[in-house]
Amino acid sequence: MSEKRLAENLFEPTPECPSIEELVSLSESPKSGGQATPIHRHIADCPRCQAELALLTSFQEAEATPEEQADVGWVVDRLPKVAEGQPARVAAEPEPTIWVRLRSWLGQFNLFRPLPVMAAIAALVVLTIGIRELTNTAPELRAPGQTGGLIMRGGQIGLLTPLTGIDSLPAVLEWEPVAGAVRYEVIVRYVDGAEAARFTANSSHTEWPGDVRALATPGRSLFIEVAAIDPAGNQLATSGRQLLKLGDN
Amino acid sequence: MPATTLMNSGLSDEALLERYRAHAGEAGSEVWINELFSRHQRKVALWCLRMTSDRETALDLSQEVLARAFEKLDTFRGDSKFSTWLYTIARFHCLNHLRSTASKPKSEGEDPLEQIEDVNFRAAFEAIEARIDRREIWKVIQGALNETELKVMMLHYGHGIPLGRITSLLELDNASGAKAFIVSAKRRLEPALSRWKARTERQQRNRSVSHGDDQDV
Repeated sequence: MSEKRLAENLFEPTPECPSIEELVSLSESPKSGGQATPIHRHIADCPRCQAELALLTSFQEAEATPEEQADVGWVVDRLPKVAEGQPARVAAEPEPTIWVRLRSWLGQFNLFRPLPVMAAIAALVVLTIGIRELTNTAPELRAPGQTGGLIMRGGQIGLLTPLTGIDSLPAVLEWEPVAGAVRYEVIVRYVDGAEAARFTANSSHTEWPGDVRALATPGRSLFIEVAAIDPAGNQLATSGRQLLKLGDN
Repeated sequence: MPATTLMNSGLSDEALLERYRAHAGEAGSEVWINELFSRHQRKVALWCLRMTSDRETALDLSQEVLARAFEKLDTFRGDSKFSTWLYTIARFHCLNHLRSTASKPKSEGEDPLEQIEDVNFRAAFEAIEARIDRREIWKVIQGALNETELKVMMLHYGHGIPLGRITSLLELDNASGAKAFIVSAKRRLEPALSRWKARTERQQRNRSVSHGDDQDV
């Protein structure tokens, strides 16, 4: 047996060595009650487990050196998104169904409900849902960046400037004008919904303020929302949250 | 609100994942998961680069790691940080890659144990092989080596990571990198293991003499 092979045998894990998953999980968990458990004691003494933890640290805490920056950038630039999908506004919380609303309404009365009454209510619900399904169509969603004629369904404002599939921020953000609007509020949000910036435009287009330009870095996801405001300060229509992401081709 | 303050107000990795799961299947839900993965792709790319020392291979490996992680997302239970869980996948793929390429001819200087002829390391290992209690030997090794030497030995022989890669991973900035630590480890280990071997043999002799005395009685 070669010396190298002997060394490899010598440094194989012992039966006491935890699995990688266990080891990395244990490395994050505090010792129970401040007392070292047998497995914690093993890890502290075991050179094999210590080497594993060094490897984990080399992953968690690694910072590219100036010489590595270009290669890392080259790799990152070529990595595709893990999840593909048509960029669209993030769906809002679903509106409660008729049945949920009815149940909620009935819930306030602590009444004995005989079976025929319940059956009648169920029939009414089925009938109502049926009529609703026949008469109601889903609101038309507009893909960000789609251009074309004015679409004003359900108080929606269509954005005319593409916000995805672009490498740099367009000079101007433009949207469909809304009749009766005296100004427009443009709200920029982070992906968690927190407001990043807000500014006002007096017509249906505006230049991006400098701080928004600074926020819109390649690869970062932001949401843009435009709201039309009437002279009394009421909101007439909104674009909903539209995804803005640069360098996402 | 100032951009600098707001830039730190993002969701945690776990919260992004939670939102993605809550909105799974809905249009736009990929925003959460792409945001989560994009936070870690640089880390994965750098690690793969250090493991391979070649950006084309690092790109292939990074893609494999991220795709596999996305595929296995359901198995992430939140027992550890997302980045730690991602590490286990990166480790598996990168070490597999190193094993698969280990049979290829090594670059010069990658196997110092075979090259350092001034130390009779083999004798010590053969002694170990004959009556091995690895935990006892590990104690001898731990007593003889410093922390870095020990890590380099373990990563090279225990994990099969080439020395050049260990130099990058552990960010060793000495002139010869990990190779220097293997060389110094060998030099320290040889006398320590020889002493241990001699002591063990002496103890065995004493035991057999004592056993012989008992039989005489």
